Amino acid sequence: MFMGKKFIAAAALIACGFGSQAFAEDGCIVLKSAAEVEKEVVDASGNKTMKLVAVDKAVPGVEVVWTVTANNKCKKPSEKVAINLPVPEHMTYVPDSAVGPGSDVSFSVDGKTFAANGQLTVQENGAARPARHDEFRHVRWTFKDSLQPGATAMARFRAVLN
Amino acid sequence: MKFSLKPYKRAGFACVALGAIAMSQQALAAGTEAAIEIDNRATVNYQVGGVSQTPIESSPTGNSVAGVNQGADTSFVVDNKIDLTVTEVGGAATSVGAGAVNVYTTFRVTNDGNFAQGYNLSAANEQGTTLFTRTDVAGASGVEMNNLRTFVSAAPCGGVNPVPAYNAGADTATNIATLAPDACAYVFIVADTPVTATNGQVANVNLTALTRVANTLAAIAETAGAESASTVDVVFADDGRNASETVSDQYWLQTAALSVAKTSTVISDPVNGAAGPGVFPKAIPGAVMEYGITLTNSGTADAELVTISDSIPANTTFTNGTYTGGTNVRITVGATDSFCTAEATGDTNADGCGISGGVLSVGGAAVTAVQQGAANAVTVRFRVTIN
Repeated sequence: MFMGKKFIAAAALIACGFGSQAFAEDGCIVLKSAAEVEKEVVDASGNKTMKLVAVDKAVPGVEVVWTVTANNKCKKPSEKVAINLPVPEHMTYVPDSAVGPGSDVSFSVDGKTFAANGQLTVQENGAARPARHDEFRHVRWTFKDSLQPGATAMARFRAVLN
Repeated sequence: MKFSLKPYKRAGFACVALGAIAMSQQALAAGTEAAIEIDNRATVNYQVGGVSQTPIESSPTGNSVAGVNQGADTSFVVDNKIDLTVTEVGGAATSVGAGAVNVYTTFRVTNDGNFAQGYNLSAANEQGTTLFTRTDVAGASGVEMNNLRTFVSAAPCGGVNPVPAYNAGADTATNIATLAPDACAYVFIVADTPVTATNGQVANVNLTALTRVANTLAAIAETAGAESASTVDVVFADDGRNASETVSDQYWLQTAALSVAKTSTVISDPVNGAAGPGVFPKAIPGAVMEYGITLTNSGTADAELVTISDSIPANTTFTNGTYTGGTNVRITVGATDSFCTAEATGDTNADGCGISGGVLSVGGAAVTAVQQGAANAVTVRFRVTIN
C-alpha cells in the first residue's frame, strides 16, 4: 500500500507529537507483541518441555520474554523491515538474549544512536566507554532480506523485572 | 480470594512511548512495587517498492493500522510478592531475676516484599529448645515466662537508628499496622518472671510475625489459579511460603548465691604476748581476738548488699584503733583492703560502719556489693578483747 509522502526512515523513530495527523490507514504489516514467560510443561508420558505462556506471577526477578512478529499481508514484499522494541521501564535487558532470524540486532541507550552489541558507547566523565547491557533501553532488528507476502518475521529479547 | 488493586501507570508520555529514557528506576531491594503496570509497544518501519511507509505500532493481538497511536501496549501488572524477615536483636539472652516483671526481648521485623503490608504479632513459650548454648528444660522442672505480650517500638528502625529499649509509655501497639517495602520495625516480647525461678534456669520464647493487609490487618491468601495480567496477584515468597516467620529469644535467670564463713584468731594474750614464731597466745581474759566474716557469691549475679552485721561476742570489748589510721574495721575484697571506724554510738561519721545495741554493722559507704566469683569474696575483720 503506497503512502503519498516519504520521510527518512534511517534514523527515524517516531518522536512524540511529530506526526500530528493521525492516518487511520491500513498498512502491509500486522505487528504483534507478546510478553511471556517460560514454563516447564510435563506431558502424559512425563516428557518435559519448555513452553511460552502469558506472564505468570509477575514478581520482581521474573524473566519476561518479549516477542514481536511481523506478518506481511500485502501482495508485494516489504523491504528494509526494521522492528524497534524498547526495554520497558522497571526491566533490565538479559545479555545476549536478543534474537531475530535474518536480522542484525542493535541497541540504543538514548533512542537516537544504535550500535551492535559491544559497540555501543556512552559518555561518562567526559570519556566514552562501552554501554553495559543494563543500560540498553531500545532494541532494533534490521532484517537483511525483504519480507515476502504472507511471510512472518520474528524478533525477541528477554528482560528481568527489577 | 483474589486481592485486586487498580493498576496504575507511572508517569507515561501522552504519545507513543519509545522507551522511558532516563526515567529513574526504582532502587528498592524489594523490587518494583506491586500494582505498577509494565507497558511496551513495538514499531516497524518498512518500504514497499522503494518507498518508505508510515510506521506501524504493535498490539497484543496484532495491528496493521499505520500511524502514531494506532497500536496498543502489551501490558502486565506487577504482582504482590510477600516476603519478610524476623531477626532476634542482641545475640544474647535477657538476664532477669526471679519475680522480675515486664522484662523484654528484642526483635526486628522487615518487609522484604514489594508492597506495604501489616503484620500480626504473637509470642509463645518454648520447651525443650536450645538457644545461645543453653537449653530450656521441658516439663515441671523448667520455667515458663508469664503474661507474654508483644509491643511494637515507637522508635525508628533502619539505617543508623540505634536499637531502642522498651518504653512502656510509648510502645503500646501490639501489631504492626504498616511497613513499606524494605522498611523495618522493632518489636518486643514483654513478660513476667515467675518468683519460683531459680538461678541458671532458661526460658526460651518466640515471636511470630504474620503478613496481613496494611492497616486493616485483614488476612491475605495467595492467589490460586492462573495469573491475571490485569490484577495484582499475591505470591508468598518467604521461607515456608506461608507469609509468616517465627524467631526465638531467651530469658536467663541470674541470682546471687551468698555463703557466709566466720573465723576467729587469737592475736595476743597478756601472758604469751603476740602470736608469732613459737608463740601461741590463748583465749584468756585480756586476750585480743580477731573475728573475720567472709561472704562469697557463687551465683551469676552480683549481690547488692545492704549491710553485713555481726554481734560483738558476749564477755568481750570491741577494740578501737586496731588498724591503720585509727580505724577499727578492715574490709578486704580480693587483694584490696579498705578500712572504716565503727563508733559505739552508730555510724556518726557516715563511713558505713557503726556499732549499735552490741551489733557491728558494715555497709553503705564501706561495702555495697558482693560480686560473683571466689576472687571477689568480701571479708570484714574486727578485734575484741576478752573481758
